[in-house]
Amino acid sequence: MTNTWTDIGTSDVIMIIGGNPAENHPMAFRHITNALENKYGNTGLDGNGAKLIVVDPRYTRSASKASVWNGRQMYCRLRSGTDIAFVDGMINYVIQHKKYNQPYVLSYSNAGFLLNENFKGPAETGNGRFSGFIPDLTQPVPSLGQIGKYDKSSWDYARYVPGHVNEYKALNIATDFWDGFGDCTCGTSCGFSKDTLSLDPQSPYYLGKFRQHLLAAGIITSAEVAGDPANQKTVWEHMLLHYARYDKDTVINLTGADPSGYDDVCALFAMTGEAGKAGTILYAMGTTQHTVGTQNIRAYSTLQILLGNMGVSGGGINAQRGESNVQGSTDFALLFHILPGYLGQPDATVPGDAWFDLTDPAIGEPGHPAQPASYIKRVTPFRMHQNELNWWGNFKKYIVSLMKCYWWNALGSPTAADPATAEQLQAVYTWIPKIPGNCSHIQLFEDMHAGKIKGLLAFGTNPAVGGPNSVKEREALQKLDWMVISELWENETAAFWQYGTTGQKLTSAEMAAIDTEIFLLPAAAHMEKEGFVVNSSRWAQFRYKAVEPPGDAIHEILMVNLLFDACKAAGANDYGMTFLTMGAGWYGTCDPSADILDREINGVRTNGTLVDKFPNLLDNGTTASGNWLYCGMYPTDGSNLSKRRINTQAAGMAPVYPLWTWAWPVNRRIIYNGASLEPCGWGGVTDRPWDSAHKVVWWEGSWKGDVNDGIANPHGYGGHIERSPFIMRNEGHARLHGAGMAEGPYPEHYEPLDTPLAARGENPVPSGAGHSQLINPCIKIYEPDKVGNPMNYPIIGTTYRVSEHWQAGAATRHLPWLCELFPDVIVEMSMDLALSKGINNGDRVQITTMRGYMQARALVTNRFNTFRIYGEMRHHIGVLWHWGYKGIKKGHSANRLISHVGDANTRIPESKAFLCNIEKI
Amino acid sequence: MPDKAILVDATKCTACRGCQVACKQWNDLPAEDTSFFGGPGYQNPKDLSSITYTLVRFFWSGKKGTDVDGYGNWQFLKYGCMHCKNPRCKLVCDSMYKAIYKDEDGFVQINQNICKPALCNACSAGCPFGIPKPDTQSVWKCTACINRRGDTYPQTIKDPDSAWLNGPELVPACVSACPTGALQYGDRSVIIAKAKSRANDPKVKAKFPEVNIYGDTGPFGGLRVVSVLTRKPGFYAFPSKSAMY
Repeated sequence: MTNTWTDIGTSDVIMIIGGNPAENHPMAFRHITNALENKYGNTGLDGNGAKLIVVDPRYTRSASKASVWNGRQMYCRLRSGTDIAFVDGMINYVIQHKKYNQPYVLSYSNAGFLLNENFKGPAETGNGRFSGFIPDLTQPVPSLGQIGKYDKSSWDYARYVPGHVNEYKALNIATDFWDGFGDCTCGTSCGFSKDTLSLDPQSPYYLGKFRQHLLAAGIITSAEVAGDPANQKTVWEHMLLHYARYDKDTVINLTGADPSGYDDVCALFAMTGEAGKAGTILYAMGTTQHTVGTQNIRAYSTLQILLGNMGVSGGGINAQRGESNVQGSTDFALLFHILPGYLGQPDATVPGDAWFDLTDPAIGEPGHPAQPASYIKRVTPFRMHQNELNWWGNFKKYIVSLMKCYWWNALGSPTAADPATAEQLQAVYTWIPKIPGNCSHIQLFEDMHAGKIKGLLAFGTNPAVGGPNSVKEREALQKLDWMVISELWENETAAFWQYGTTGQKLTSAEMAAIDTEIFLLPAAAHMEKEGFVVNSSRWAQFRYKAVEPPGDAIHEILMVNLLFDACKAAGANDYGMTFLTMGAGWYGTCDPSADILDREINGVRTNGTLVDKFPNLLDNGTTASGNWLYCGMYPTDGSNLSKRRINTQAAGMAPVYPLWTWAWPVNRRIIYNGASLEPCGWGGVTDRPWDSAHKVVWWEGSWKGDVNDGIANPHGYGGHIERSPFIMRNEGHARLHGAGMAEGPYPEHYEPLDTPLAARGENPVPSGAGHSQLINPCIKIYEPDKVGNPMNYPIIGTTYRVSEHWQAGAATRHLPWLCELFPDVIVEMSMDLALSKGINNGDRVQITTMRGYMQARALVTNRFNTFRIYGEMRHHIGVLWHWGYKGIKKGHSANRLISHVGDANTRIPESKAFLCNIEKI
Repeated sequence: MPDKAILVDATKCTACRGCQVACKQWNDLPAEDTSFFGGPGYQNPKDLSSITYTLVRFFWSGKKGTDVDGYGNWQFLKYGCMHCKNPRCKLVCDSMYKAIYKDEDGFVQINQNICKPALCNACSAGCPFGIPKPDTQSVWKCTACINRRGDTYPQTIKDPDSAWLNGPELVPACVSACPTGALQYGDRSVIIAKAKSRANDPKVKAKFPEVNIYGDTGPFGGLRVVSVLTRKPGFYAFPSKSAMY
């Protein structure tokens, strides 16, 4: 979350899309209710509390609470997998109706940046892709479009001569303009000024004409403009071309949304572009579990930047994490591509990653000389402009502090302030395991299935139910030599050897044929152990142990330290193991308290003192920090702030409760909160909050309120500089053009891999005359023979959770009270579909996809309806995925239906959109 | 004598069913072995029983068709003893075993030591809401968590909206579990005032044109479970508000 749960209470419009908090985050609905009930005095748009919009294929328990506005309930449905079309259409509405917050967009975003003259979006290429596409001819191409990757060099900003201190042209022009003359001094009374500069192409002071004007007026010279200026366009000009293609007809035909409902959603949410109004977007797995999941979020972010909703109270894009500590597990690098604190993971397939750092200290600054490839060079962005903070320029401090934390004795001195040598850094760096390229969940199970992975440590995970294409993943488990699994119960994964891949009980001869040696370790549940957990608001909240774990069950800290000591005793004694700060040899016990580890995570110096904030971490081996994001949670006064519980705050402040526990980073509750102030010039701030009733930061001779983002003093006070609040970006500005994405800098609609438009053979979003790039061109297709075809599988399917069960069900299908509430796996379908298939409410049905089948009980409901997609009527169903073959209540796992295909950036599986068929049995 | 009541605000209920589980947990009731019975929405069990005192009922209505008309009517209502001020169950029991009484806060209770379900069951048959359910030992129903009140309660609830946060002040378990404030507990006059302000709120009226208060004055002399209903009482098969004995 950019904001916090409590802060949702000040929203004027809340849009839930790709999530269902009433069912999956029921406590969160309290904060939504606060907004609807006007608890914090937000008058909303009509003086009567916030409005709730729900966008979902299915009318959910959240949708039942959608507001009525303009005489209509603000629920709008969309076909699974069409979020980008829907939200790009909203963006188009905001642009066409000029509902954006113009000063915000001009100052805080990169709308005004010039792009490389070779950059082309799908509006210009004519093929549905962006410029720089390199098709991979070895990839299977199932007639749904090309697969490959991008050479992203053309996606960059336009530059002056590389090596110039401010080599980025757009920024330089802009700051010249603001700093040098404020109002244009071209001498022609041209009228350009910071007040008249406009995003409206009809305006004589249109941003897109700005550069040509400066050139014509001789304020900048053609020599300063590399390449062909005529082809260079600003981000904003590219956006106009890109989003205009998402006109209402295209959106309605793709999404199947109700046209008037869609209009009202656009109009209502766009009203939050007004200064002082705030809209928030709440999302969850319905957004992310698509081949375009990351771009779905990009679309939301783009909309929120245009409306000026980022950094303000009641705004933001707010991911509702699926369980109490998903945020924490992500922060601590549960994911394969990062180390704790979102530090880039060294990769054995990247040649330069063999070396830690071969550069001089100028790394991180613009104009750095050509330097040999190294890990540090790859992961450290350089600062594009001298005013910007470029926070990731500090990368080396964080990674060296992490290495010191891991291998305290091997780096510098254990007790003195002696810096580490370059040789030590390189040696210790080699001990960090290097990934062999992509190691996402799907890739791991593909490798396991191919016999390349022999062993599995499974902690708190149940891939036999939760993994995509779970039949295939159960087959993969059978090929393991050994598996160690830590669980509360013997779940489906632990018991895979007793059951066939479709859940049937095996005979003893069949069980004997499975050669995997399995160790089931009894784990302690959350109330049986202590430690902080991190919620969606990024709050680290210490949780105390309530009861002792039963029997032999122990908590993970003890379990992992025992495992470490056992591995060492068994001969695992390379340097990385020998020097690791772990186990009884380090702590004096295998059971160090959570509090001790919290100090380690926070950061300590070699002299034993605590580090109180991450700017004080060093890159020389004299500070250690297990996760730089958490530096400051355990400050020098020795109080573990994750145990703090103070629920009071300053009057007039947005309801963020800064003294309740502690939030990363540096207790900042709303990220990019400098943008809650009206801007001055190219990214600088004033002392005027957009919304003075819910201030986030404010100026009283110094900054008050939430911990600010390193913004400079406001305009009119000493120390003012024009520095944009988006400090994690090396250009300092919010990215409407995001060149870091795999499949393009703007969200473009691509169909799910299982697409009902396959027969059409053409992506309807205009890009020249009809183009065949139906699917995301950057995904990896593992199973080209398992792609669903609408001829055989005409029905659109999705999966979801309910309040009553949790994730893969191991924790809830063993609890009788919860099984009583929701005993059976059900499939929800419309009355039309049920009628056409002769299915009655409560009947047993079988659902099939190209991957497999499952059986469920039918729930026939008017909460699903038929979608009209380009004139064709399409049925849509939804299946619960919590069930498996263990527990009190058993049922087929819905992930048997799901393909091994993932998002192009993250490889999160595409569980939320597939093609299927359904029959009564 | 304290005059207490529980508010059931159906306009705020999201049917998370935390109340249903909290009731089982506090009252130490076993689970029923259920299966999907083909009912509306996700409701389970099908009805109250001697081991289920609280049940969130799901209702669908509205015609199939457009988004607005077809979807606007997924209704939820927490269901359990209404704690009538003039309870008919007590009326019929008074002529039999006199096992039913009102506790000091006015909630209706059954004395399990006196009740003889094998011989009687008059209260089950006589309850206009179909609440009390017998087993071989007694007849069972919601007690408004009598064992959470008494000595441990009557502390003042500082902020009834946050009653679920205020640890030591034990409100009925269902109320303490409710995340949205759909369930609240307090002085009956305060609860009725809250219900009225809710039912008169223009945004609530816009969303639920039939919104009405049930249990403030009638039926049966008023109820201690005061509901803000999203549909008319007949929709839930409730007696009309003017019903008397």
